[in-house]
Amino acid sequence: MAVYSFNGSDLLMMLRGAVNLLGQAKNEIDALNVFPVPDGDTGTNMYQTIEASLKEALETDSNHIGHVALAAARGALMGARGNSGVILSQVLQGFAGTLQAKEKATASDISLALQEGVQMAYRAVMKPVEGTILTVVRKSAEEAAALRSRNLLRMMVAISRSALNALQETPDLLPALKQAGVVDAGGKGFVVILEGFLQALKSASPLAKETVSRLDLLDAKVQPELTMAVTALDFTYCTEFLLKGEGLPLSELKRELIPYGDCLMVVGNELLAKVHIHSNHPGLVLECCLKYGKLYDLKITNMEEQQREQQERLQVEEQTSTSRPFGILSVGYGEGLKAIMKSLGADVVLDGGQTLNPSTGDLLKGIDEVPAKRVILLPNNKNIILAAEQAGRLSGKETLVIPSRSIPQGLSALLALAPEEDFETTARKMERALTSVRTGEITTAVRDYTGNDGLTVKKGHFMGLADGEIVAAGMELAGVLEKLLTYLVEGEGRLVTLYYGQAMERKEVLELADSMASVFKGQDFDVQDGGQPVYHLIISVE
Amino acid sequence: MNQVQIVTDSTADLPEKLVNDYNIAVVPLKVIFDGKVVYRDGVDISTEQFYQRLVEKRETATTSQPTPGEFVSVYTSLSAKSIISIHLSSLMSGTSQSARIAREMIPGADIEVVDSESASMGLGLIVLEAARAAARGMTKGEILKIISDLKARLQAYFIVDSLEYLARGGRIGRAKAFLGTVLNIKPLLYLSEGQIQPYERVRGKTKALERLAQVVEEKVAGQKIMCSIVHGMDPEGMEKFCQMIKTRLPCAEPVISKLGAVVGAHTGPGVVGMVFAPET
Repeated sequence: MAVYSFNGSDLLMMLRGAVNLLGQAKNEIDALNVFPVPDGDTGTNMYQTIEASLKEALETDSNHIGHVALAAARGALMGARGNSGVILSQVLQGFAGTLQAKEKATASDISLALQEGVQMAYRAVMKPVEGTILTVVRKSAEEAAALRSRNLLRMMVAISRSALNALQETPDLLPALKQAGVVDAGGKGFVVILEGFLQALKSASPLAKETVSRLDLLDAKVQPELTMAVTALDFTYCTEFLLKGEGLPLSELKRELIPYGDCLMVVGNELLAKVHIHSNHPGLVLECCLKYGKLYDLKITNMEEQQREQQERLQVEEQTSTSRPFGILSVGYGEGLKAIMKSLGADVVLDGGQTLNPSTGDLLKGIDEVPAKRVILLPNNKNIILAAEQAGRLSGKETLVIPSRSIPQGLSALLALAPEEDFETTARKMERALTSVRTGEITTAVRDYTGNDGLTVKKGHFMGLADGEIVAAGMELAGVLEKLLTYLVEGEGRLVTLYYGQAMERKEVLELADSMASVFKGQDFDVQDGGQPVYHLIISVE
Repeated sequence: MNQVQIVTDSTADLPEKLVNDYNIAVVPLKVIFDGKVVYRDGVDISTEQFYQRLVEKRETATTSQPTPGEFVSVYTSLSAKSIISIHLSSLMSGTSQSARIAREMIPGADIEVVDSESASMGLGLIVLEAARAAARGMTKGEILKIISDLKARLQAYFIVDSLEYLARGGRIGRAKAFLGTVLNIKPLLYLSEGQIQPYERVRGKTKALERLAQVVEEKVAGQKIMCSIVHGMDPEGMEKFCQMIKTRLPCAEPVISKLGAVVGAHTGPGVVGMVFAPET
């Protein structure tokens, strides 16, 4: 079989394939973590990113590959989570930018688009590291460029194979991977996406059953909010439902419904179809479909109402935003830590951290909620920084991202907040504050691990991380804490704060702090309820 | 006999020796415990006694300015030709106002009432410079010029244990932005335009003292200064602070002073601060 061009439906089909396969592989990818910390999330992040991409692409209802690709890129941009998700969204961005004017794409078009995707991805990362998803994407693009065949199917097979080879070589490029005995998680995610594309292309029936059930899931949560322009609506009622019957004539149904409105979508198979349309006559739409089968899960929404509410909300925001020179969006987890952030002056604190990275869309919404026109963003996790920067670029507000890599860094930055100073001065002060604090974390290992300095960690034991590096391990918390603090505490007169997590009692932490104070003389100790999951202690030394 | 007599109030926190050496008249403000028992600041109650009742017994203290009548009796008891009466910031207290009313009550008297726009040794250093000038026999006009020049150069930075007391007494100014935090924070504050202003938030006493020293060093920027170090019953903190700045600041003889009861009632315990002005 030979395929010489892809159109919009082909791309949609491939995206579906990628969503399905990544959905199955995401837990396996989550487990590919360099450190044995129980919070890997790369698979989930990439899955949510590509799922958001598909959702948006499905809204286009076009066979024009440029239009579908642009929508897919837009969706990924909004839904991007975590570092790998953001990089993936950049690949799609470059890809779509190259294809935007094409109705159909040939092998050379796809190859060029992929190369542009690689460019975009490398540009998005401040210091590109080889042996990551970047390398895997780049090698795939290089393979595509080197191929002479104009058969797209053959090209996809070759790209997929070279991506897999590149993935297997990642441990040779990144010592940390080799040591942990894993391949790069983001790279693996990209390989799975390519395999998903291929699987979809090979499959005779593009709308396999599992895809339909997935679509129901997807569609229930489509959020028009972010893209909705404040203009007059041609059609008032968003109408959606499931149609069950036998031998449903999907394309006929589609033709019949076109005159009733816009944004029409009829997807599914001959037994089950999902219908979505914006119309001024939802009754007629329903009546029309009743000829073919039974209706389920009906939902009719008055979009004018929605729009009015949104406009009112925007006006309220407008009023409040003029009174403040700037506001702050922070990211954190644990009720205690979030409350501390608010008390220090964060206007909005989004849920997020190691186990759950907020998407670009979440961050964008957070920026909107801050009652000021200028917003300072504190990602407080190294995997959220890129998404925060992306959200900053997409937002209509003026934003600055302070690249805080940990909760203690975020708290130090917030502490530097002084009233009545301007946006830039404050941001500069906050950025400077990042270097004034060191971060320690204590959690339990999810598997055995041996570090390059011979440090061994047993599954279930405590381990201490100093600024992200494992430096202490053992069965006893106090011993691990003491060892960790020897790495973190330098000089005298430091303030050591122990933010204790859900797994700890205040009393035992106070006792720990007392015994540490007798070991580390001349240092101040403070104990705060962080309420965070997973980490028994988060420690700041300032 | 000097031509000009300097008068101030008890919130200047001037050590007794300097008050006597320069013949400064001090009008006491009042501290009131539980709304009933009235003490004259620095006369009926010492700083130590006051803080003991405030912190250990957790009694509530309020304060009150001197009455115009009290000013009248001080002014009329003085024999100098002219009086310069320098007082606590009018944004923090009605003391200047009482003094002005008193002046109006004594027809023909030559009394100049000056709002220091400062407090504690900020006020104290101004009073001291004015008294020194008076002792040198300078005229009222010359002394007023010295005062207004010094007011412009004077800076005061300090830390408090918490903002709780300042907030309670309504003397918090714009530092209220620093309120309401659950972390154990030492606010670093300063005086400007007659009010307490927020400067920075620091965590931990030792770090707060170190930061105070850094900020003062930055602001002094190598200039020769006159200065005073004030503490609100925190001798340990003050000792630490003195050690920190000893080699870093070109201040010949810092005036060491204890924060009085009236200002202390508003700041609460744990105050360490420094007042300074570049020499001309």
